[in-house]
Amino acid sequence: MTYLLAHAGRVAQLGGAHVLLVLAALAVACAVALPLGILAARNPRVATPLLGALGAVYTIPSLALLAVLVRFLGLGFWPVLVALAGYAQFVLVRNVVAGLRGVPAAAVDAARGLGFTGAQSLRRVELPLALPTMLGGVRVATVAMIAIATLAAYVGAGGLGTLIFEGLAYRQNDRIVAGSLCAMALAVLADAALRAAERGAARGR
Amino acid sequence: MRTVNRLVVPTAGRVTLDGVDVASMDPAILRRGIGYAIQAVGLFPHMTVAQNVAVVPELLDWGKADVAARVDELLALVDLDPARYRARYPRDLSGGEAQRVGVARAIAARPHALLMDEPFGAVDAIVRASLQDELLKIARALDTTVLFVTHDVDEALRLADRIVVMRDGSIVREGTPVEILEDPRDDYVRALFGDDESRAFRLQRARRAAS
Repeated sequence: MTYLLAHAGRVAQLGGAHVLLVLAALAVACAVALPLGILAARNPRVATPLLGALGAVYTIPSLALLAVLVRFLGLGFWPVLVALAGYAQFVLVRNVVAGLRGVPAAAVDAARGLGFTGAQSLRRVELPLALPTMLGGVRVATVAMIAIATLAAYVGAGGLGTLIFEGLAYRQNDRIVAGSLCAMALAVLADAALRAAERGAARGR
Repeated sequence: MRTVNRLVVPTAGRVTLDGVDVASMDPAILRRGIGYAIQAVGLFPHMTVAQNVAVVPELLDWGKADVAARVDELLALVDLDPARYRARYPRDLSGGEAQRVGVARAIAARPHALLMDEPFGAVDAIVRASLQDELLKIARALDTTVLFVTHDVDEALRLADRIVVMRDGSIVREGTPVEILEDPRDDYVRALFGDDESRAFRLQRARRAAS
């Protein structure tokens, strides 16, 4: 705690970098997972192998995945972005599929029968109804990404993990505690904010 | 029924509506001109009653004021006080209220044709009778052709100008209620409309209604 209090400015800076890293990865992850999820929800034949493959990625130890990515993408921001976005895919795609499959069949039939085009039905009926479940996936993925992003410091991408690795190198537990506590606090905050968003999205149902 | 608005594509034969083969039309455009009400109702749970009813007029790009006025008019037509129901969500409606909203949504854009698949299936007999009365009133006021699927023979006799009896996907008898009751022609049709006594009673009622 003493490190945290004495170097609040630096900790805040590393925390900011950590948040930016996670937000960038989350944006990329969502942009990839949404079309994949829609595709899988509409084609059960795609869903099983796709979720299987993404599940396999999810089980690769993060440090190993990062090490492999560094060989192709070099040190720094990019391997971390790809690793985080890759890990998030399983949870995100799974929840997009579950959300879309949970939309009442009668609502989809009515949407088509009343003259929505496929895209209109998706945008105005199916995605809004799937939103609470999809946000549940975003929440779980974000919390995991905040934790995994501490490894970013190992490949020179900064973030709160910097404090943890410094603590390990200098045998200063104080730094490890400072980095970990901040990462945990971020995760708790993100969890609470996204829970509120989920409740908001489920309003009226 | 679902071949009419192309939710199902027929393997053989064709469906014409006002002389036009529906297969030649854009499905979404076609469907916006045909009302659609189903037993499961299928109200959109994330939209209010007013938003549900407004769906087709909005797809057709009616002006905002026109849509709002039409929604109130329709809710009144199906006997739901607009001020009380406009902002409610479907989960706050009883089965009968939801089916009324479903009917209002189906007729919102004054369709030339209305497809109804057991739209009053999920309500008790009293509510059903009042919904049937309203449908008759509405169909006459709109001068809309209604294609109505039901398993309830009394509902069919009460609502229909013409009845088509289907069995295993084929038409077994077609005619006005009086014609069919007077001369069922087919054992299945005869059995469907009850024993001799109840068929005679139904015939009496149908004749009264027709005159």
